[in-house]
Amino acid sequence: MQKFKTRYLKIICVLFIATAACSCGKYLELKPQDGIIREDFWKTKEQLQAAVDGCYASLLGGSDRPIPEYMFLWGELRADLLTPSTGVTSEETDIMNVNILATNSLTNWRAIYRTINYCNTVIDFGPGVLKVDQTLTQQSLDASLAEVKALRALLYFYLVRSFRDVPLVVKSTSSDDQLQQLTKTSGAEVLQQIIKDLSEAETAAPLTYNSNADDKGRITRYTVYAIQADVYLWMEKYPEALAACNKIINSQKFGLVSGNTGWFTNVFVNGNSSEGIFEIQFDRTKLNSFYPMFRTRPRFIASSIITDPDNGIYMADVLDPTKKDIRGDGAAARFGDGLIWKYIGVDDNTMRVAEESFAHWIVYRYADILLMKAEALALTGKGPEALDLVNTIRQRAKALTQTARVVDPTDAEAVCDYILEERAREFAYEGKRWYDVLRHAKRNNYKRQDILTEMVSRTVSGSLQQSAIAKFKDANSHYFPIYTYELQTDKNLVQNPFYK
Amino acid sequence: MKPKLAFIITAIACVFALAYISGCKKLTYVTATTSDVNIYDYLLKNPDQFSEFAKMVDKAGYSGFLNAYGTYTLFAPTNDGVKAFLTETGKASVDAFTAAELQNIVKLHLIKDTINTSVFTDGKLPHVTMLGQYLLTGVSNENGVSSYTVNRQALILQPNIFLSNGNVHVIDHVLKAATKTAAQTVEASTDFSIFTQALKETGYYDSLNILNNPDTTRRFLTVVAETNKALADSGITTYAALKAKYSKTGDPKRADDSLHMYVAYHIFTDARYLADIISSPSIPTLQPLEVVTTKLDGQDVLLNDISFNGKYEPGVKLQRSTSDVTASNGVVHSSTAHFAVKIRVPVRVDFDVADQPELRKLTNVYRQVTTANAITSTGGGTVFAKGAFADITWNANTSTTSTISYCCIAATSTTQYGWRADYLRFPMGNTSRNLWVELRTPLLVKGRYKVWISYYRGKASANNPAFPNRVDFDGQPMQRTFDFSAQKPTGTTGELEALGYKQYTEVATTNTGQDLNNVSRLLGTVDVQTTDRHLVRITFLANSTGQELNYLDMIQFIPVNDNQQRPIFGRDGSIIP
Repeated sequence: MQKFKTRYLKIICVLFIATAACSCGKYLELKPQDGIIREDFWKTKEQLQAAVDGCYASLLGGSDRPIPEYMFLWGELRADLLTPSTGVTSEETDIMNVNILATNSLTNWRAIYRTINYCNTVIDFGPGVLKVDQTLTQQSLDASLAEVKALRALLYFYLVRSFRDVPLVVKSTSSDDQLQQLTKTSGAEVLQQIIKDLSEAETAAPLTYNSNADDKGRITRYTVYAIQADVYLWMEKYPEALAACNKIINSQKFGLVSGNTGWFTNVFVNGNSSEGIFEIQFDRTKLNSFYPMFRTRPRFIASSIITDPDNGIYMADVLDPTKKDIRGDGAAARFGDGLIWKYIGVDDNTMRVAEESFAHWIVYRYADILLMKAEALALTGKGPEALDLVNTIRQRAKALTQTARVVDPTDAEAVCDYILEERAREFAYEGKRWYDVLRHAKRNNYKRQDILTEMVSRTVSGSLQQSAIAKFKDANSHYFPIYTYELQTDKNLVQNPFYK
Repeated sequence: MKPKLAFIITAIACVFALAYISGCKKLTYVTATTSDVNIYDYLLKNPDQFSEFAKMVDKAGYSGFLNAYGTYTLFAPTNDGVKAFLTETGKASVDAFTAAELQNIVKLHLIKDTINTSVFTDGKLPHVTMLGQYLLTGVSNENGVSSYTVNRQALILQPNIFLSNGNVHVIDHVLKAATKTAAQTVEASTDFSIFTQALKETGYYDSLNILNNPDTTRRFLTVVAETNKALADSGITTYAALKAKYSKTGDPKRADDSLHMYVAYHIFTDARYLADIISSPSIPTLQPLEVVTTKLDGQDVLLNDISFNGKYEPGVKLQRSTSDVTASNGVVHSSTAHFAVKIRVPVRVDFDVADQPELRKLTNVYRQVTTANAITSTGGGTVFAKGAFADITWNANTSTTSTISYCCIAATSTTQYGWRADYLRFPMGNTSRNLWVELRTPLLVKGRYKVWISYYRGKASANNPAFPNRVDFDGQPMQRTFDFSAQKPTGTTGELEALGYKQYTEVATTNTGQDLNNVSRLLGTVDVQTTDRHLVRITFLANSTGQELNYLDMIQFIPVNDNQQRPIFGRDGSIIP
């Protein structure tokens, strides 16, 4: 009997311990079995390098769309170069029709902030490696920090142009107790932070990584200058923009790829041309999302502003069809069927196969620097020099004389209009059009509101045209709403008043 | 043994008790599927904003159904809005209204469906309010802030509040129903005095003055009124001048009087705001069988802006600022110029099906003799997917064979003699190919026409059966079928005409080879009811998978009394008399 009792007691004890152990939320082993934790990382310069590489890799997409897809959608949907096609989503047409609600998931900034957080993590923990790894020099640490700071600045620049006021996070979120309910920072302050990051990056960023692919795919000092030029133009600080452009031009490291048959192949198909300054590099192991987007079931095709031979931006030479703007048919789009060609073509008529859809996303190239310089010149009273630069770009591209404009060099607005039009021709579908239009329209306190009004009256479907024009008169409508999910999870965020 | 059993039971009970204690926390069960409130509760929950409007809803007797299951959209005016409304109407409080008055007010703010701002356009909302008047939406910009407007009377302060039985949009003013009918609205403006008199003299004033017309097709009407200035620009400064110009019978009330027709031509059925007008290419008017065509040019809404018989006729612009005026039974627009029914005599239309605006833009395809455009034994031509043309559609399957293609051959070809040397090729069949293809014609003046279909004959295999196609004109089947694989029979011109065939190209009449392959087939006679663009549908009739080699060149509409044989057409585009 006694024996039995003991046995039962034992069984009960075992049962009790077993139940207690599995019902509680405590684990005996604290370190994860399948990953590395922060305390074990940040020990060697190789790990630092891996972290920096991770920042770039996150641009290519993972759980979210690739960041270039956002850059394309944000930069083109609201402008005039796209026509919806069979695969278009209702969220995309809503943006095209200036009919955006805060529930539109294309306005979710999560992917951008994820990469920003990766950059912040490197900035926070990178310096600690210096103490642990004696082989890491201060100089190479600074170079790494410069890279991620510039990348962070670039991403904030996209955010500030798309949303204007956004939460400014410059510290990494590396544990749960660091989660905070952030407030919005005004666009002007975000721009100040961007300028600060860039000027810190400017001195330390390497001039070259001694490899062409790295020089185009990672941030060099020239990339920093390019971002600076763009940011200063946006901030209407033209002498600074001019100075930044000149630093790149005077380096004589870049040039325009000559406008022969190899131009499209060199610049867009192969990428990393002498014209490229910063390119987001997809490859066979990580394809971009453009093939299904423009080819399989196209979500967009080129609008008539691209393809129309009489009223389009490239036009056509009726008498001599061999004369054509190299940037038009077979480069920006294939005019025959309107397919957006820059990312799916291998020459002017042959298409990539699906498994080779790894055209780079070009963030900055030399032609951009020249036209940014032209814009800065035009707005500082140097019209003739600006027009010279525009003509350089046009000659390279064999632009048709029909699209040339006779412009009074002293009329800054007219020169700017010409530059804006030339930028549309040069950078069609490179995610720049909307930002270009908005930059020109908002200059001098929206002096050129008419550019926007004229554009929406052409692009928006007829029954929504008047609404869209009236909406665009409100400057707040030029920026996206904060996505509903962000508003629900962060009570300190205040919605853009236009979307209330 | 018994105590042992008791012990075991107690022990097990203890284990469970302990497991329970050391286990998880107590769960709170959610018993409702949603914590959202209903519309009326929402008004009550926000008394600082809606206490006044809630009173109105309550007194109108609508608080019950607004708090029950349903799908509604409510435009809820704020307390300030209601107060302004009270001041305006000279009432001391909401209680000063009768329940019936309040019902009418609240009904204008209620729609029996859920509508959010993403479906707002420049025109009316897709559903009518419970009062039976449409609400007009738009966007206005005041001091740099753009907001949605409703009926041009109220701004939306907060849109899209989603509640469990519908949506609420907060507005800053009470909406006021239109009290004037369309007739009274026109009459109220001194700018329309001549037009008003014309309305009265022709009797249309009364038709436009009926509220809740039992004839539901005329429940809502749209009037395009001409201002005195628009008439004066055309030299008409008084009603007498207008009457003198049009009224030939002297009695404008007669339906065959031209003044009567002139007024009828300015009235459309349904409430059509400008945004609705530009959404359809043509609109029927109250003048039987007459339509106005519409066009959006930049921001201008134009009526009757068309090319007819190769000549451009500039249209009439509607004044945006004075149009879109809501009346209790319709909409009133203001025209900046004088327009009337165009008297046109039927004129032949040689419809070159390959002459499509989308194709014209493709300078490297259109009328280019290239390998891609060539006619081949399997079909050939530059392929277009469905949706490529605004005026041609087909029942495309997902298969690649259900596209259509554009073919262009050299003008020196000795086999194909099509007009302008180009064709559209439609793969036709009952499975993967197209069962039907539909084309919109150019403008056809009303009248009687003989319809000829002209094609280059292709037959994929000598063993194929006949592949008859039926042609429907505006949904009405034509008298004859035709077959893309059928040759022209041999015979003299007269014999051929008797059989319903003719020679339409410049090919020499030899009764052999190429002559027999360039076919024009008479489909029958149509009575075109309205001067408009019409639909022609070609439907494949055979119980077969069909063939690729169907090359359509043109469709001719020739007035019955005109010469059906000549002119003929050249590959270089020439028309040979």
